[in-house]
Amino acid sequence: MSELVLPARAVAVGERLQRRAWILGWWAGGRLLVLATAAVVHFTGPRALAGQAERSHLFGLLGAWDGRWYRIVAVHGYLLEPGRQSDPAFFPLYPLLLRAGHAFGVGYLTAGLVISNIAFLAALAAFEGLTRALHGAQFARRATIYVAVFPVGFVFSMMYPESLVLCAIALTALAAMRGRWLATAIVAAAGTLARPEMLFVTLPLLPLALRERGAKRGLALGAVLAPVAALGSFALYLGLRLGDPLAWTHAERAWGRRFTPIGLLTAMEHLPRAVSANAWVLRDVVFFLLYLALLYAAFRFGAPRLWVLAGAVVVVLPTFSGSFNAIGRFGLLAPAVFWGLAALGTSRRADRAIRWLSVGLLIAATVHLSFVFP
Amino acid sequence: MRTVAIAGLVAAAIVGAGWGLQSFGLPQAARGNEAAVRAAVWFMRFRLTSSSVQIGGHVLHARCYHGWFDGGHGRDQHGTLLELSNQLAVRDVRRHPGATALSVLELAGCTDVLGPRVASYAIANTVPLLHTRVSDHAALAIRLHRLTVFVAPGTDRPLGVQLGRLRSTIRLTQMTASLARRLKAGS
Repeated sequence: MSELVLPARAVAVGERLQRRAWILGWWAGGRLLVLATAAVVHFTGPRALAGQAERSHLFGLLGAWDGRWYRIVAVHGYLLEPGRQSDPAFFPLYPLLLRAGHAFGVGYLTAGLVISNIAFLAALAAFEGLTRALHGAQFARRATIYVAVFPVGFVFSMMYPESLVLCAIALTALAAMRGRWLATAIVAAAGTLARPEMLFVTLPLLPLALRERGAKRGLALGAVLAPVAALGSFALYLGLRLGDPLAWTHAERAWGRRFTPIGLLTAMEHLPRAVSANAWVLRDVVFFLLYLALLYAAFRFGAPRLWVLAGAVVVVLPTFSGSFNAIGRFGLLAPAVFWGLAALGTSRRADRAIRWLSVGLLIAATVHLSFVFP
Repeated sequence: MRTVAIAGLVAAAIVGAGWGLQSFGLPQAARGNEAAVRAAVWFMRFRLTSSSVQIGGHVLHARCYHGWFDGGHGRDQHGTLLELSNQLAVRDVRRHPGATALSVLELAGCTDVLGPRVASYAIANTVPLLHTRVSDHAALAIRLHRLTVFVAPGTDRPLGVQLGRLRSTIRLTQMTASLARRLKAGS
C-alpha cells in the first residue's frame, strides 16, 4: 500500500479553490445567458445594424459597436482622421491581446470573446477577494453574484475591455492591500492601457502607499503613479506614430465628447434634444441615477469613502463631456456600485428580487444590443 | 528625496515598457492609409475644385463647389454644384446622390463627396499605394476599391481621380467671397 501525500500548500490551495467554486458556477450561468441570447438573436433577431463580420459569427452581436474599432486597431494599427470618428479613441491593451489571440490561429472576434469571458472569471474572483477583505465573506458572495448577473454585464462578454479593467482594478487593490507594490504598479499600468477609468483607482490606494516607510514608500508611490505613467506611454506612442500625443482625446471629440468644466450642465441642457435624436439615452440617464443611488447606499453601509469617491468620479466625470451616453457601461468599473447593491440586498427577499430582476434584465439588455451601443 | 527618485524610476520604467509594448505589439498603419487620410484632409479643407476630364478624345472642364444654395421657400440648403464646360450643371443637395451622379461628382473631384469617401475607406481597409505619373509629373495612386485618387508625393495633395477608364486631373482652389456669391447666384 502506498499513500499519496500532497504538500500542505497544495492542499490549502485546493481547499481555497473548492470554497470559491460557486464563483465559477455564477460566472458560467451568467455567461451562458448572455451567449445563448446572442445566439438566439443571431438566428432570429433583428440584424439591421450589424456589419458583415458580426452577421457571419454565431456570437457576432457581442463583437459589434466598439468591438469593430478594437478589431480595426488590431488589424491596421492607429490612424487619426481629423474631425472624424477614428481609432485612437480606443486604448491599446485590448487590441494587443486580440493580436496575441489571433496569432494562435483564431479569428479576432473569437479571440476577443475568449479573452473577455476568461478575464471576467478572473475579475469575479479578484472582486470577491477584494470585497471579502473589506466587508467579509457573506457580503462578498452577494456582491460578486450581483456582478455576475448585472443587467449591463453583457458588456463583460463583449469584444470590449471592461472585464479586463474590472479584473485589473480588483487585482491592483488586492496587491496594494498586501503591500505588493511592484505587482500593483504592473497591473495598474496594464489596466490603464485598456481604459482610462483605471486612473481613479489610485485614489483609494494613496493612503496605503503613504503608510509605507523607506524604499518601499517610493515603490508604493511609483505604483500609485503607474496609471498616469501608462497614459503617458500611450501619449508618447501616439505622438511618435501619429504626430499627436493627444490623438485619443481629439478622436473622442468626433463622438461628441469634449470635456469642459460645465459639461454636466451642458449634458442636462442638451438632454431633451439628445432624447429626441435617440431615446435610448434615457437608459443611460436611468443608470446614472441608479449608480449615484447605489454609491450612496455603499457610503451609508460603510464602504471605504475613497472607493465611493472613486466610483462617483467614474460615474459622474464622463457627463462632463456633455453627454450621458454609455454611462451604464462606464459605471461597471466602479466596485462601490456593486457594494451599494449588496448593501441593499441584505434581506433574503431583497436578495432574491435583485437576482431575478438582474437575470431578466440581463437577457433583455443583451437583445437590445441589436439596436443601440452599450 | 530617495522616495521621489524611486517613484520617478518606477514611473519612467512604466512609460518605457508601455511604449515598447505598443511599438512592437501594434501594427503601423499602411503608407497607403496614411496617404489616404492626408488626401481626405486636403479635400475637407477646400470647397472648390477645378477639373478636366478626358472623354472620348475630348476634354471637358468642370468646376465643383460645395456650400449653401437657395433651397426655395426662403431656406438655404447645403449641397454641391457642378458646372461643366458643355453648359450642363449638376446641383445635388441630397445626402445620398444616385450612383451616376455620385460617379460624376467623384470624377470632377467634388471635395465634399470625395473627402468622406476616402476617409471612411481608409479607416477600415488596407489601401494600396502605387507610384505613377499624372500630367507628366510623379504621383502616387491611392486605390480605393473602384476609385483611384492620385496625389502629389510628399504632400499627398490630390491631383486627379480615376473611375473605371475615365480619368480626371483636379485642382483644389481657394474659395473667395466674391466667387462664392457668383456661384450661389448662378445656382
